[in-house]
Amino acid sequence: MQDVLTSVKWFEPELILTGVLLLVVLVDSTLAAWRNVAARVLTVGGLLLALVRVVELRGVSGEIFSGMAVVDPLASFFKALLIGASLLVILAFTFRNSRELHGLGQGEFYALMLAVTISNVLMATANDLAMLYLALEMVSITSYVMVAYMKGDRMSNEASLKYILFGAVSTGTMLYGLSLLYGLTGNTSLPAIRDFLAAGLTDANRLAVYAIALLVFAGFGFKTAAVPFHFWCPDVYQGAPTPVTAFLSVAPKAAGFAIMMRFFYQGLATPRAGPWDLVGTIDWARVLILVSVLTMTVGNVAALTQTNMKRLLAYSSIAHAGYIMMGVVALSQNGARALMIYLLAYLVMNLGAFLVVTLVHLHEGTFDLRDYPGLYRRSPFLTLAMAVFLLSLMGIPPLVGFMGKLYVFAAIVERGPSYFWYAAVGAVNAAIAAYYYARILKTMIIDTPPAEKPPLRLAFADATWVSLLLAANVLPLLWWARIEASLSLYAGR
Amino acid sequence: MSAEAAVFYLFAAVTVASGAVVVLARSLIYSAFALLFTFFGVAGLYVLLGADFLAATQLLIYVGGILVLLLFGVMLTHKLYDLDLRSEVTQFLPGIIVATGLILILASPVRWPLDLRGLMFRTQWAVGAGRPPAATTAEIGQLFMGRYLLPFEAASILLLVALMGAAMIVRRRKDA
Repeated sequence: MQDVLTSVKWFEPELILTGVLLLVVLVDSTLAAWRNVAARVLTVGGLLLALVRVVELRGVSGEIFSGMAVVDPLASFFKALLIGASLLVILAFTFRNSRELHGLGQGEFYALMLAVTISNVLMATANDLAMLYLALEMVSITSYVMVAYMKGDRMSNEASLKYILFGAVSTGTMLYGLSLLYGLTGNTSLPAIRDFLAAGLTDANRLAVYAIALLVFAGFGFKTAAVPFHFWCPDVYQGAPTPVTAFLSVAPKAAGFAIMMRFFYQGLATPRAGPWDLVGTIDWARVLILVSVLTMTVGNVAALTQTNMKRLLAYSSIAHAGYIMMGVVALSQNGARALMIYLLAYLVMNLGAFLVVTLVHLHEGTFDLRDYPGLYRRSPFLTLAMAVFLLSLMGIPPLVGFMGKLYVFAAIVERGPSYFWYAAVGAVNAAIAAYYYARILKTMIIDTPPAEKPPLRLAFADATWVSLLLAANVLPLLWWARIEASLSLYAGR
Repeated sequence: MSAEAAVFYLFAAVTVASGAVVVLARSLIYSAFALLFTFFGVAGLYVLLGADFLAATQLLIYVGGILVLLLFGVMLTHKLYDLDLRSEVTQFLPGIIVATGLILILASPVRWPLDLRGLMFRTQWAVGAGRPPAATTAEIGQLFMGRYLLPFEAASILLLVALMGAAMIVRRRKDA
């Protein structure tokens, strides 16, 4: 009993979110005229409160609920990132500035956002196979509903159905891997599994461990949209309402990387200064490198020919998953820190790009890149903002996207000469990506529009959020030393 | 072969064979009825493993609830009832190759002239000590309120979301 009581204290952020979720459902069922405003205020307030509690609890470290979940610096970082991502999406993307969501019920959307946030956070803290699988499935099922939010829209329904089918196959495959893992080790707790593998593997068991790694990776790959589990990504990103797309491209991906870090860094590695060794004498890194190289290459090459902005950003997000995976492969404290920096940078640059796409759609009703010419003259501010977000995604200094790439590549090079080619592949991919990002800029700035249209006027709130995201892409460089130092604390064990 | 093994193979055969019918049948109604036997076979396997509570819930929820609902859905929906389910694009050959490869890796029994046993036969699985308890219900209840409290409670959030999502998708829009 004592354990539950202490656990609850460390579990407060999640409890706050759950309480607010129930409140939002209640408020929405009143059918009063003020219910939408109330739901929004409650959601934002709840997320803020949870974020504050996470920051206050950042120092604690230990297992909670009989080892089902764990609170540690890594979990605290991801909790803050995931709650922050939900908060940013809800504040910057509103029902008013999204043409797709306009007029749809709002209460359910906020309830779903809270539920998916809770699930994401549970995923980042899971310390047991049962919890890991349940959290992953919670994120998936909530996301399916969110993708289908535009009920009358065929694309939205199709996207949701595809998502469900791919999700069912991937998580089913992963569950089979987890059941084999349980059969092999006789335990579902990640630390216990680590001890089992650390004790050394007999030759007879090696094949099973390889198979388990591949099967389990199907689940992680699905969540992070890594090749070859990425097929759902372009269709789902295109069909879903843009705010949901923006959310899916950052939060569940980050949660997927959180669980991957937990599995590979804490489940399978022996920590020390410099690069860590993996237990069990199995070269997991080789598999991850292959997946990572394929992911960035497939994502970037497929993005080259896209003209739908949502689809293009979907492929770009697949490619970024490949870069982020470099942080997992590096398997050192610096690798963990690089991954965190990249995820933070990716959050602000990708949300920014999606916000611009949403605003263009609000005013123009189009997601097609071929309708973008002339935007420079009609809204210099929006074009400037898009330029910064895209340059950041490209990895041009001195924007945050550059810092992300710099740290990830540095962490890989640190591992030694045999990893140089991997960093080189990453650099070549960054160059390919620069082409299609630059093509968007060229279309917006240089190409001549077929007809002159009046200037595009942004609402004050929208302009504010674009500016804030813009600042988040540029300003962190001013306090870089402090950010780097504080992230180093979270990257340790 | 012991009696236990014989019963196991009987239930396994029922599960696999009816599962194949579910996938291969051309009419949805055949698939739905074949699913009945799949659920039944799985329940039998649970009984064999000494998981009495699981077996009972499997019958109650899957056979009694989900399957009946599914059958009603199929039979009351005219379009679904007459639907020909054959897919236009079937990756038959790649599918066979992948499935055969997977089966060989998992359960290849070959050990001569080369040791090519699949991981089912090769691995030293963790074997628990002792026998399963005679009745599992009380034990499960205590575990849910103790060690597995967090997943148990988290599952309730999942159910709430699923309920909300289903209502949202099914409900007719007022303005439509």
